[in-house]
Amino acid sequence: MNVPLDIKNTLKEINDFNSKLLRASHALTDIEDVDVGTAEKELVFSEDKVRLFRYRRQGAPTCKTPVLAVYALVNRYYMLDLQPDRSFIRKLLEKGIDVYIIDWGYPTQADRYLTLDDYINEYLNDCVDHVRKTTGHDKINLMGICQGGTFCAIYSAINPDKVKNLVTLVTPVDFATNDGLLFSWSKNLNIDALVDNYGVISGDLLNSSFLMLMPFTLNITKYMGMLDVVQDKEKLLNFIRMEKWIFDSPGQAGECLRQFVKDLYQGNKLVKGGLEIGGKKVDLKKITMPLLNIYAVADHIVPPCSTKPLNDLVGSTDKELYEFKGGHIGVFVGGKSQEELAPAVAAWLTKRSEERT
Amino acid sequence: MTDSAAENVASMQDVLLKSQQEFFKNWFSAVENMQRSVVDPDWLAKFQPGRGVSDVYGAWRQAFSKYVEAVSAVVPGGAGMQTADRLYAGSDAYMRLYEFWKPLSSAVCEKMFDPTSYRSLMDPAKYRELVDKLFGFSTPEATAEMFRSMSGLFELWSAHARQDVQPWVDAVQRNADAWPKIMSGDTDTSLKVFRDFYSAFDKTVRNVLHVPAIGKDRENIQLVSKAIDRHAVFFAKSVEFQHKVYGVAQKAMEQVVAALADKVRKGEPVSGFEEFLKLWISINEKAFLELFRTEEYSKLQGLLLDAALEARASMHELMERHLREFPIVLRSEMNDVYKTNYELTRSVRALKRKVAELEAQLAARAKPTARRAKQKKDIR
Repeated sequence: MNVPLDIKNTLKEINDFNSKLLRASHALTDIEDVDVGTAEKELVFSEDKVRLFRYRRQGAPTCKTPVLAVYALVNRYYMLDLQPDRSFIRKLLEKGIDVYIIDWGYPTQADRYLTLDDYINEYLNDCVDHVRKTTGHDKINLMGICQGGTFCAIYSAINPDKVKNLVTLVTPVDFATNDGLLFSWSKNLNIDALVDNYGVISGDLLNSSFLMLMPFTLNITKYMGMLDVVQDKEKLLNFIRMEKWIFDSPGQAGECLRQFVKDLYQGNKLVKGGLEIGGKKVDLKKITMPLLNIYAVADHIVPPCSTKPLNDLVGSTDKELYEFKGGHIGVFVGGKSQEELAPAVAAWLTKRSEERT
Repeated sequence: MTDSAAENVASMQDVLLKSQQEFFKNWFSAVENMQRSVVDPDWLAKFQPGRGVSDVYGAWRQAFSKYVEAVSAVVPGGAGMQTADRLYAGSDAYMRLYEFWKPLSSAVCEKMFDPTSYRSLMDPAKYRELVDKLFGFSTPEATAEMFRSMSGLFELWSAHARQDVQPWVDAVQRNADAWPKIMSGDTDTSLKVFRDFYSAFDKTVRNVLHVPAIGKDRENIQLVSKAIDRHAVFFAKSVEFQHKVYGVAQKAMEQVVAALADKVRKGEPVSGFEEFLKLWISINEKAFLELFRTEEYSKLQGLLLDAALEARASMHELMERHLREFPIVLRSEMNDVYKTNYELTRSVRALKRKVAELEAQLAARAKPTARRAKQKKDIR
């Protein structure tokens, strides 16, 4: 046993680490806040805490049918426009798309009784109707992300007459899988006790579950990596923007979450059948409009096996499965997202928006 | 205002005043801690010459970390401050692992490294602290404190129950010897006995008639007992859960040491602590993901959450009962209000929609009539 441990290097590492930490402390405490979601937009409709924005664009859109982007309830919509050079939204605007987006807001205890029916058949439906009415289109394009994609799929199944094209990104549909930890953990979750106890489930509670999906990477490695970019102000700001988004998690209206967990995570009713939202039956076969379903190969939150089956469950004849080589968050902020994915979505929509349905 | 009502108001004011005093006391204490952490007179003293420059930074890091924590507690910070807070949590784990690694590295340097007896080189308490930090477990001290406060509450309710009976017991005992005198017609003694029993009545029954219903104390005691029981169940589940996590952490560390030993055997150089850190993270991440994927873990986690929720619910039930005497709105009452508001909002929305539909129908019907009327006018 004659192993030379590089003592000099070890001491240097610890010294470097603490020096970086010192610099990071100064740099971080100097930053009061970061700007996110900077693409210009205007509020065009609101209902209770929900707001509908339309992004301002220069010149007329080349894609005739507007797109309504729908994000998950658990995160904020500005992930699609985190910063000017990492903005899915700006790319879509650049490619000629007229983009609307829903901000679900932050539910308080007063919203604890909101159900899936309220979110899908009321809020989402009213936003769709507003876009239809104000733009003069009978049908509009829907683009749902993560849980927002599930909402859009459900909505399109109930209202196929209002949706021209459906785009789903990293959307959970088949919940029977145990590939993703959230899917396996939800099976043994007593959602009744959780909702009865809290009313509105705090975003922090949900975030702690997300951190447990990769406890060492997300609690240690990520921050050690940050120390290496601390001297580069722009990179540091990018890191903080992402942190802001990750931890800016609205609470979940209890009754809505109760049904989402029971009917989908535990009952898998979108696949098995039997899902009803506000008394309206949801049959994915009624989705007959063109579908672009995007999944991420390295998605640890919504695994591909939960996303891909949508194409087999819908009644559409024009349907495409798009493989994105990255993870769940990379779909919105990575280089590939800007260079490949957003232009591909814009091209797919533009092509189909010209066609008569 | 009656005397009793005036006493109640005075008592309420007293409670409010005390709560404000408590708030400011906590505020000042937080600010004081914050200042002390920045200008910590001991931190330089913690530096011991000859122990390496990292100790100076270690002391500083602890001080600054406390400062960020203290500031975050009283002033919700911006994104930079919040990131700093999480960075310190991460760097704390880094340094804890480093402390854990030091004896190992010394053994490697002194060619005394024996992977089969690595445990003797390590401090298990320190390693547990690291695992606790990562998984957010409560400490035994915190749990003990919780039990102490629960017991205190139980004793308080028991004392209340005793208070209802004790004045009567005292009155009976004090006057037991007086009965022969009363029987012989001693009016002074009769008066004294009457006063004693009236006093007991005043202290107990009158209060009972005015405030709590019969059997309330017993219900409260049962409720406290149920809360303690549920906390005990939660505690047991929590221990089971921690045991599972510690078990995996220990096995993962054995794998890390085995990998290190393998390098030692092969004569490969160990570049430093960060190599150890990377190895430790990759092996642990894998080991814990394997644990998390098991049905056993998923079930245990579900049961732990269930137990925690039951304990929380019983505490809320207890608090509500206690707070019912104060002029404040309770959680359950607010939930009723929210529910009513929600149902009314839905009804109004549905009615508005119906009105809009009817208006549209009326407008549609009115259009042809108006057109016909115009046509008739034109013909004339």
